[in-house]
Amino acid sequence: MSTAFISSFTIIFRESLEAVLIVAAIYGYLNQIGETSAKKIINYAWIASLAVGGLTFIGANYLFNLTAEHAEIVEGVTSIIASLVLFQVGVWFVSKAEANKWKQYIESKIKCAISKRDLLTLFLVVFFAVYREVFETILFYEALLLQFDSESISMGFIAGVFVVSIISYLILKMSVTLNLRYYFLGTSAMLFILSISFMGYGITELQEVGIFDTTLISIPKITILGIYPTMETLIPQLILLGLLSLSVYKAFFKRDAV
Amino acid sequence: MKKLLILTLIFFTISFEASADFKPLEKEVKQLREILSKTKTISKAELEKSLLSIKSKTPLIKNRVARTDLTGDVDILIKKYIKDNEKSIADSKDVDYWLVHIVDDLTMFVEMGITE
Repeated sequence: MSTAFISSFTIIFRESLEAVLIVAAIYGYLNQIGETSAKKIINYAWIASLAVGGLTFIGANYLFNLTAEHAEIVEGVTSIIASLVLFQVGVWFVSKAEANKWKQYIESKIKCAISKRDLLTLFLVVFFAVYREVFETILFYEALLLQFDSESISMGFIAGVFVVSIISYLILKMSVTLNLRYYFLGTSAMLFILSISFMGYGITELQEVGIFDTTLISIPKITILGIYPTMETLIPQLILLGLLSLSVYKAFFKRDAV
Repeated sequence: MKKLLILTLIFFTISFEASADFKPLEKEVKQLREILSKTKTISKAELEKSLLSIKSKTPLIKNRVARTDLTGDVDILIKKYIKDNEKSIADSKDVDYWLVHIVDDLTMFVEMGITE
């Protein structure tokens, strides 16, 4: 296997996996509540984000002469928005994990279709999750195409897309067969981890360009989880964790909670 | 033994060539990190000299995307710690934190197989 193939495979796999996990989890959710028509919105969201992401990249590069600073700001802001929307969806999922509430929810869903506000939230989460990856992916492929033959790169790309498609298929399959409660708990946990990671990454990008200060603290750097040793990244992540604890408490321990 | 020696030589030749264009930049970054590790703060003048020296090595990178990305990273540091910095010094740990970001980017490009 050539370096070009492996690099191409790794890039598309790594960059698209997070977005694919989110899209598949939401698809699974819509399967569970029988809202198949709402899937259209999800498709519009990821197609729109690919198109807008591509256009932003081309436009910014050729029309506005995108500097490294601007690129960091776009990535930073997009990541923070994605984090907040993901968190909202995560809270929503966790509130449905409790069996009785889920039953009530299903019953209410049979009576009335998914609300417009819910649809908008789902649209936004998919849009931003995909959009934040588009920039970097295009940039990486641009670098690879300058270095290697396009045939190996294309093969790597196709193989990567194939593997993430299998993963998303398995998640969708799981959403049908898995115990509903565990499905919601599992996907909520995943959404929260991604939300906290996106928050750390987004703030780091904005720190780099000096929008936020950088106050170093003595904690380990865990890039994959978006944990960086600075006060400015850690505090919002701790706030998210606090809000998460509150929503878990409301969902599982407070009997009269909605 | 002779075969082993030849194989080792070939390996080192390939390894050296594989990151030849990144080497000067890596060296400059390493030098600045060494200076920063010895002091709590660094004067703006000394930092500017080192950052410009780092920037002077980025044109040696042949891959346009890697070159642009790494030049951009250094430009951000120059803007942040030289142009926009109203003090006459900069915190060493703070600067080093962002130099690690450049080291991470370099490693990422090498891992992607971008070597020229």
